[in-house]
Amino acid sequence: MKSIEEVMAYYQESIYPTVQELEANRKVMVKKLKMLIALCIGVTLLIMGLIHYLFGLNLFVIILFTILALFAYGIGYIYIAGDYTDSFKDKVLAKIITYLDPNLSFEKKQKFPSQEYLTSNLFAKNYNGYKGNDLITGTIDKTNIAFSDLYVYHITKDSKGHTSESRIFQGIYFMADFNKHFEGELYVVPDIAQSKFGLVGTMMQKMYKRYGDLMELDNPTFEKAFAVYGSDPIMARYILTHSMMERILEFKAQVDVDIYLSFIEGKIYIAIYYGFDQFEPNAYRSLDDLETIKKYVEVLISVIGISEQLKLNDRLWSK
Amino acid sequence: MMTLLIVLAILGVIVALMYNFLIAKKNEVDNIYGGIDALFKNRYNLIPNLVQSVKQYVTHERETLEKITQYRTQAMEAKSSDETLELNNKLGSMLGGVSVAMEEYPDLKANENFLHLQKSLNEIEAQISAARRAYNQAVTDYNNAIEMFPTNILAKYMKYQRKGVFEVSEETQKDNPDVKDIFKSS
Repeated sequence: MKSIEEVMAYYQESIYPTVQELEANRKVMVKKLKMLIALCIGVTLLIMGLIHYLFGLNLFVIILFTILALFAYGIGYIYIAGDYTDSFKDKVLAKIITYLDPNLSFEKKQKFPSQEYLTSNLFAKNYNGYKGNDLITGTIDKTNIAFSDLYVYHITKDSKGHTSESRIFQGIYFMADFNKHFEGELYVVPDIAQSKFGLVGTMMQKMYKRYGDLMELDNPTFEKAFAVYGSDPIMARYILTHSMMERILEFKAQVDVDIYLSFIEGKIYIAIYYGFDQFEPNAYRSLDDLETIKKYVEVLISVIGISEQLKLNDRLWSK
Repeated sequence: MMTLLIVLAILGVIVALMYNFLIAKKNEVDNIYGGIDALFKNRYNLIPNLVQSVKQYVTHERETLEKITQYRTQAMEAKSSDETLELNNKLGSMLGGVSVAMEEYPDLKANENFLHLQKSLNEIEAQISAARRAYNQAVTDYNNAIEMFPTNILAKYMKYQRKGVFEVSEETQKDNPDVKDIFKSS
């Protein structure tokens, strides 16, 4: 896997001129957005003025036209910024991904398959919202990988008809072939209960059977960071060797957010809970700022590098 | 009188819980031992083919190969779990004791059958290593239960004895054993 320095050098040499063009586009876009705001406010005030002159204003009319103005701005924003987002992904992200590994393909409109999300069994399945984009797939050495930004949520409606949205997952969802044969299921999830409630937390974890039986592993640091559940104690240790536990801890320290892992049907699933969309450009940040680009590169290297970091290409076994 | 009955009932429940707890710990050890035993059988099944594949190339290690075969036979006929673990411990070490640097035998490295066996051996040794960790964890939990108050009182009454952990040679403790390294390291 190429280093951040290598990618940034490539970026400055080969992509930077394109980004200058994009930056100019971004500035034009911000101007357009400002014009749009002025237009929305102007038209709304004009219409409300006319209504006031002809019929007289009331609160309902004011609220109605304010909502209509915001709606018009939202539509306009998507239309204007959508082009910029697409250009950024085509001209910057796609090139960086290809440079990192030419075997990878990038589809900005596609997302992590919902069927695989369900198979991973890490989060609630009763969602009614499943959004995502920026799907990256391909083969790194011998290992097939796929990941994308994903937002899974549940909308509930109370008796008064008020709706509320609760987030189930938001971040990057990753899957890859695992390099060992195994049967059964294994889950590695953040150890929230034990770290917050100590022994009582451990008892709660033992009673919590959603993922299977709680396993105690022989690595205190790993035990402190994660709770491990599974169907078979031998299989759990066959997958979570001492070195694998160390590598997972290193990966967690690298991404510095909660990570959830499951090992099911010969695959490893990793949910990296960033809490926001990783690959969307921020329209209000200048692209001249190299730190902005570096953050995208860091995330890409971390996730694409999972198979290398967890040594999923080591095929010493019969698989 | 009622108070006495309530106290006795509570004591009865506590004893029943402790009894079930101890039984669960003992069964956990037995279950995982069952898993280890199945893996040992896989190892026994693999050894004849491995020895057969290697011996025509490795002429200086015939004695070690014979010992491996001998330990295999003894382990298969072992009467107790302690004996099985001990013999398999030796067997693991003896696999390392074959002492053949694979780089010195290019013909063997090019042998498809051997490469397949090598991968199978790696897998079995990795599984045995995993099973050893699971077994040792279960034995530690069991030993803690029979030595710690208050479960030690009931354990003594149930005649539960301390169990030994499954110690293995350094070669088999590796996460990713490689025949090359096993052979080289002894």
